[in-house]
Amino acid sequence: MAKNYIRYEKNNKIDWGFYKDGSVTPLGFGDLSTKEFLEAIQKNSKTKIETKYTLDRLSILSPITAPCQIVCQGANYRQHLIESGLNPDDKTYNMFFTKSDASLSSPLGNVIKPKHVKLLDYEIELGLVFGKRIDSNSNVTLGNASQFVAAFFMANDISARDIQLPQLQWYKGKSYRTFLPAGPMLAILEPGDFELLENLELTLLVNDEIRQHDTASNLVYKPAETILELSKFCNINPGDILITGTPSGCALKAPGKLIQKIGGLLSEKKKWELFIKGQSKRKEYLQPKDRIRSSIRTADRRIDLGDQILNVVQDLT
Amino acid sequence: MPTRIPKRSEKPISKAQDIAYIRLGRKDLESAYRYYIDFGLKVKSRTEDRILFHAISSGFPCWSIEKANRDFLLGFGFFVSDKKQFAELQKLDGAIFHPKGRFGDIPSVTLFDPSGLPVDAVNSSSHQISKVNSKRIWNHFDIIKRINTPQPSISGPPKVIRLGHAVFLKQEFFKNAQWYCDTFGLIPSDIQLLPKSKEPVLAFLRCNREGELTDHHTIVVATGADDRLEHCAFELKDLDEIAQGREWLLSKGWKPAWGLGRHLLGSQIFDYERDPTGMLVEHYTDGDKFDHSVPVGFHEISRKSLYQWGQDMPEDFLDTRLNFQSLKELIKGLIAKREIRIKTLIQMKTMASKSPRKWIKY
Repeated sequence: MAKNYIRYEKNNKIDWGFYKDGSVTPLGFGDLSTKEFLEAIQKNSKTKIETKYTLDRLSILSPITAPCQIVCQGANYRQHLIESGLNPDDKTYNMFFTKSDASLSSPLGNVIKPKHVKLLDYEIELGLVFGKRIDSNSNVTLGNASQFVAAFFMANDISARDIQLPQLQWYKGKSYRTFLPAGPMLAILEPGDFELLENLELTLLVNDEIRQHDTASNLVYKPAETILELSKFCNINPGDILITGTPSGCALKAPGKLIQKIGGLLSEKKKWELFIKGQSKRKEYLQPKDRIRSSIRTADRRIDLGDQILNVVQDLT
Repeated sequence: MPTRIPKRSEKPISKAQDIAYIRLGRKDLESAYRYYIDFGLKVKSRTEDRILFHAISSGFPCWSIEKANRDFLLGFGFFVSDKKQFAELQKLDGAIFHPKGRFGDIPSVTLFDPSGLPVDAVNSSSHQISKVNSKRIWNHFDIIKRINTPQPSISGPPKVIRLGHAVFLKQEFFKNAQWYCDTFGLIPSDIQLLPKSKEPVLAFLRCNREGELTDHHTIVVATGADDRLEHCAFELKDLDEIAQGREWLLSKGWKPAWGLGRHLLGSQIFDYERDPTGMLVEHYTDGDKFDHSVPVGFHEISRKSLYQWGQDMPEDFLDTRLNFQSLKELIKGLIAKREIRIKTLIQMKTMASKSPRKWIKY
């Protein structure tokens, strides 16, 4: 059974705590990075401190710390592919991109909508934290790939669609500050837990309406396959993360095939103007005061990555 | 498709402590009497037009069978122990105060849920029982307690400890589920969604007893073609009691429904039986207990989501057929432009007809 840990701040001090049955036991490790924490917890998982806190008495931080490498997968859920007009059985390539670690933020806090952004979107994702280095010397196979993963966590891959798509700037459009709320739980895996990944249910609500719900069994490129592929072109360090793609139900709606064909005849500028105009009519895009709630857990709650609660606020600076 | 979910209310009018009783109208009181004795309930009082049953945790009736011209749900009750909250409930529109309550000893107030069902708040704390002795002693591989002694063979009705929960089908799922959250402070434990449209169609609701533990669900509100009681569940001591109860009911010629098995959401070991009217009643044990800190879970609804192990679910268990009465109610609901949609019902029916186990064909 995966063990849950959180990173938090109390009285201006940062610490890690063990979470169980609704309360947090401080570990007294201090302000460690994710990588340092993974090492420390391997050596010493016994808690000496008797105090317990409920979550609401702490200010919860992202259990993923910068600096770290953030590798992301795109279009990786069956229904999301179908929705985007693609055939999930026709897998052509595993799509990778990255986000800046400046985007990491608390799972219970604000998502800041930059002034110039109109099309702010949400994407709930299952995140994996690497616990072992991958480089040219590591012999990653489908069979041993899971051994490189130390923990699961929940991520929201917030995107500014009007930067990401028209400007062809995925890195910028997905990396503004607060565009990667992570946590609250860092679920450190124990033997047998990795296989439970298929049972994880991802749910995202905006203002108490269900927008996204799917199980990780609908991932097109499974984590083992993905890690194997990553190992061919990427060096990975403990504490680096992979976020595995989002289910259907985002605000973004790909224009139909016909519209895309017509768009192909227009100038780039005109095409994207029309795209933004069309998308702006969709009420699903995030607006200031919206509240996003999300959770990832198995039905039997053996793995439970906690609940994220985010408020969308307008950047006023 | 509506995707709004019922959620815990910031300021509910009251916080129910537990379910108190269920009231059923029955054409035939005699068969109900015989059945529920075999089921394991005890008779508190019997008159020509009403039988009151209780369970061993309390002498207060948890099951009232009342003479009627058809078989249907008359209403039910919650325990609301807080005096102030009880007074607040009395102030609600349409509330009816009964100084002596339904059964003549504890004050109650009757409210009506959005589908018009009478719901009583009984001003008393719920009845807890500390210990029930096990009739059998278990030998475990590492702890041997029964030495040179075979396991005794016991027959008879099982000991029903308490009424645990009730499942209500409603034409208006959201409105009703949210009403119970707002009025009685219930909080969703798990919510189930239709696979395609993500429409929420079922909510397991538990009492909010703050840090004190309560059942994973005290009522369940689900989308249905008509408004009715789907089943009620009674808690027993252990697995032996469940199996013994099943054995006893079968030996008396009553109809089984589904069991034994273990649920997925709520985790109970269960056995479903049918009372003389065909209504489902459940014996259960080993259910999940939650306090107020546990957040809601979301799951696709499917037959697979109903159990982790057990006898395969019989094809007639989830009754999605429409009889004359429910069809009439459905048409009435549609004409009145209630929340219910044919599209939702069709998706529910498709879900219910899919075998949960790929290797077994019914």
